[in-house]
Amino acid sequence: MNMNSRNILIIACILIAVGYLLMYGPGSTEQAFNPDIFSPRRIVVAPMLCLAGYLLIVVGILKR
Amino acid sequence: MAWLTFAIAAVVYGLTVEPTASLWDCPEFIVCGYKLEVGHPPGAPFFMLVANLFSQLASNPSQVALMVNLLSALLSAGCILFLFLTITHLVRKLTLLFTHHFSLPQVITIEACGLVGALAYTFSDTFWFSAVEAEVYAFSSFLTAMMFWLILKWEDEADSPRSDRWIILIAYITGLSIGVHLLCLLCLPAMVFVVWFRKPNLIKRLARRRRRLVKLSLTCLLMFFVGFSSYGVILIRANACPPMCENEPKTVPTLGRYLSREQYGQTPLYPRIYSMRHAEAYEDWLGDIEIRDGEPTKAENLRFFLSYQVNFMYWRYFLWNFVGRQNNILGYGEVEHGNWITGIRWIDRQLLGCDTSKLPSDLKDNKGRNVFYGLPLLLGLLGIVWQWRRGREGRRQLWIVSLLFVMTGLAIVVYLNQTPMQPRERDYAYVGSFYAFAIWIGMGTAAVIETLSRKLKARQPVAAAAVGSTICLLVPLQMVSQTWDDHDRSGRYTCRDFGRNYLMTLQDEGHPIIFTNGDNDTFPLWYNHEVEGVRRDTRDCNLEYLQTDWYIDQMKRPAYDSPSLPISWRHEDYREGKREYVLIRPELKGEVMAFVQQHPVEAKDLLGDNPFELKNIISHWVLSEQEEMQCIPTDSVTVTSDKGTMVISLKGKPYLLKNELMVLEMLSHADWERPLYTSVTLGSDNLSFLRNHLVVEGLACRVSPDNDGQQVDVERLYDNVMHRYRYGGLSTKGIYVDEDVKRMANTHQLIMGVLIDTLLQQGDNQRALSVCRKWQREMPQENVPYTESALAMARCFYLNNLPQQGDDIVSGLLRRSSEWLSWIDTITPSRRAGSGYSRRIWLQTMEQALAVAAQFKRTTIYQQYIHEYEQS
Repeated sequence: MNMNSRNILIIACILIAVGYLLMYGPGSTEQAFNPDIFSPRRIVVAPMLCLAGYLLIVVGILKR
Repeated sequence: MAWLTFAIAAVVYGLTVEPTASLWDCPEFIVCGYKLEVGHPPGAPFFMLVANLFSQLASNPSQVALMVNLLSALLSAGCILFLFLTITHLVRKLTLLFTHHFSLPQVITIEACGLVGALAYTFSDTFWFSAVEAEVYAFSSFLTAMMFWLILKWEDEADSPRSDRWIILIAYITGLSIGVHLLCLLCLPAMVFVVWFRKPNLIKRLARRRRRLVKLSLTCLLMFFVGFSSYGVILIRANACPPMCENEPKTVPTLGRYLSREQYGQTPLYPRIYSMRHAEAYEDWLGDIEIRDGEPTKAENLRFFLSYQVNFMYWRYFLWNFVGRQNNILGYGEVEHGNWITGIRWIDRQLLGCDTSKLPSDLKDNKGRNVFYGLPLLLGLLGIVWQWRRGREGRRQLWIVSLLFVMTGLAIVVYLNQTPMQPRERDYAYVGSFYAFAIWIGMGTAAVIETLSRKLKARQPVAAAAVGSTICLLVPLQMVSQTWDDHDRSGRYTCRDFGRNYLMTLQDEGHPIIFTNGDNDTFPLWYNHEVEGVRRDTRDCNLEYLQTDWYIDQMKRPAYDSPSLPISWRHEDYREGKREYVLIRPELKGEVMAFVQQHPVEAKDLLGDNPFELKNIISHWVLSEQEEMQCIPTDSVTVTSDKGTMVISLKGKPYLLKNELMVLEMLSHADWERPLYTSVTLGSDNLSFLRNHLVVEGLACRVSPDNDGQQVDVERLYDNVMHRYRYGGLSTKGIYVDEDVKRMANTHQLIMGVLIDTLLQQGDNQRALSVCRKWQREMPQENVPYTESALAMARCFYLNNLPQQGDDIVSGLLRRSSEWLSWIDTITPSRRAGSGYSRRIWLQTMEQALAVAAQFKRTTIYQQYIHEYEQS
């Protein structure tokens, strides 16, 4: 595996991991509905990072 | 050329895409994508990520559904692109066998094969259906097509050192595709064949480099799991407890159960007749079933497998796509519903056993009626023969494509082991095998061109290729001339609007709750809540889910502006396996009364003031720690409040299910402060004990403390129908109304009929007339044909001295009934029994229309049909 491909794969995995971290957060409970579960960080930015990561992996594999 | 097919498909699907959510699971998938909520098992996390990206392109929430639908359209066009590449790749290889350089006619042939095959698939029924709505099937078709193409690509390069990357990519996409739909995995067995055919070379290579093989396998495994890791979305989002969170897969074990679709139960591979619940349905299908030792015999199992599962639930769908489809009406084997036909009259007469020239206009004009005269099938069969005769390489290809065809078709039939009486047509599950067949349709073009050039004795090979291509191109063009009108969903907003209407029925005060039951009266409501933000003060509570502990948990949480539902039970009280049902034991009533009389003080302590009061029954009996106490000791339960005493009769009911107990629990705590509604589409079996306490207000009925039987709240009903409801663009000329949309429109018409009749009873002819006008404006009969509900309109017209308009309705219904009844008489006696239901319905319509004609003395119309009615 040459460096170029490996670097891309590592970056992609980091993107995915960061995406999941940003997606994480407190939830609704029986006491209260938590509007933060639909905050832009959790349902816009996070999934975009994850998706970018998953697509970048394809690039990384093809670069081999 | 490949991009041309992509462009054609993208434009066609873009023009016919539904502009908002569609029925069945689509609203749910849109919510999954847009707000990352958790849908039904086994989930589609990678679909969610991609759909989420597309939903960001929407300028406002009402555009979100369109964007997700467009994702399906684009992915389907991508699938067509790969189909073109696959066909041309295969044909090019088979052409190369005989020459070493391409001549012009050969180039034309190869491109024409790709074009014809790709377009035939573009315009085929099943694939197009999934291409214009937000489902996972378009995505899974795309991934399947891509994987199959990658496998061929890898086969091509298998000997080069860089070929490994294709295998790794396939492994990765396999992992990802589980996050879309398991169907995608079914093209992998084709890879085994490729390896098999390449065996000599591969073994040589592998023997040389064993270490490399180990390394490659590990890399593949790793990439598979990286792809599979998209399930993190489900796990993380389930822990956020969004309002929609099916099965709540919050932990790894629950996620495992979610993935294995445990909710749906296990289906055995054998016997084929296995479901006790469907005993009657099996018998309806098979006639008498031979039983030995209490089980249907092997022969009967085989008969069911072949006649129903293989023939009716697979080949029928296959033939719809490549021969012709009778209509879009859900079929259970009757002569008049959803069969495959050819369009050639004498063949169809043999197939169906009826006189097809006398079809009632309802069936003749059905947009779902598509006839291809079997041409695509013929072309495909020619393609198979052509491929077979291309030497060893041709036969290898044939094996690989056949494997794809069987794995994505008949193998699924074997695996699913479907029971009769499916609630909808299941053709969408088999698109993969139709894809494989489209490859052969493409090759059929090569066969036609070859035959032509042989006829011309190779004098003008270019002309032969050009003429042959043109002839074959007519096949997909003929297909689209048939399939366009029943796949064009543009201008249709019915799913969104009808879902919204359910919510708008509920009164504005008190945070109402509506109980629903099916897919199509639940998911559209969720869509309106979650995506468009309609009536977030209300709550939809699905009775089927209410049987599960995770859903009750969710109902106990507030969602948006809707407070928790009034449920006081603790999680332990309704945990899975606990109080799934509770017996009703009226025989205990006497004992209880005796006990109360003899020991009034203890009784009050133990059973409460009134032992048959709902609250007391729940707290002292149902929630009792002693299991023998967990029952309902009466068949007549009372709910007392300052609004009066409601008496709920449970007579004849042996037990109450957990969901029914939950409804009663809510009723006891709602105190008539929080309105409870039941959807009119609930079905008569559900919550039947509330039947005498309902007030019709529109698409939902409010539960009321009165005991006077079903009431109509005219003012609210009028306001809803006239001012608060929307009708989904059904007034648009030429809009496509399929059976499901029609059924929902009929539900609206049913309550409009009730409204008109009630207004007429009150002597309010003027307002009744304006309801009629509204109906005719919003749902004109060209789009939604009248049913017997429309007779209310006829009565209204007659009473308002508009006899002509009344006659239009009555005589229209009579004419259609008469067409149906006389056509049903042409069905061969052996198959006529299946049409008994249609016959009863139309006979009833005729009877009621005649009654209206007689009531208002429309003698000419009456005389015209009474004779026919009396004879039927």
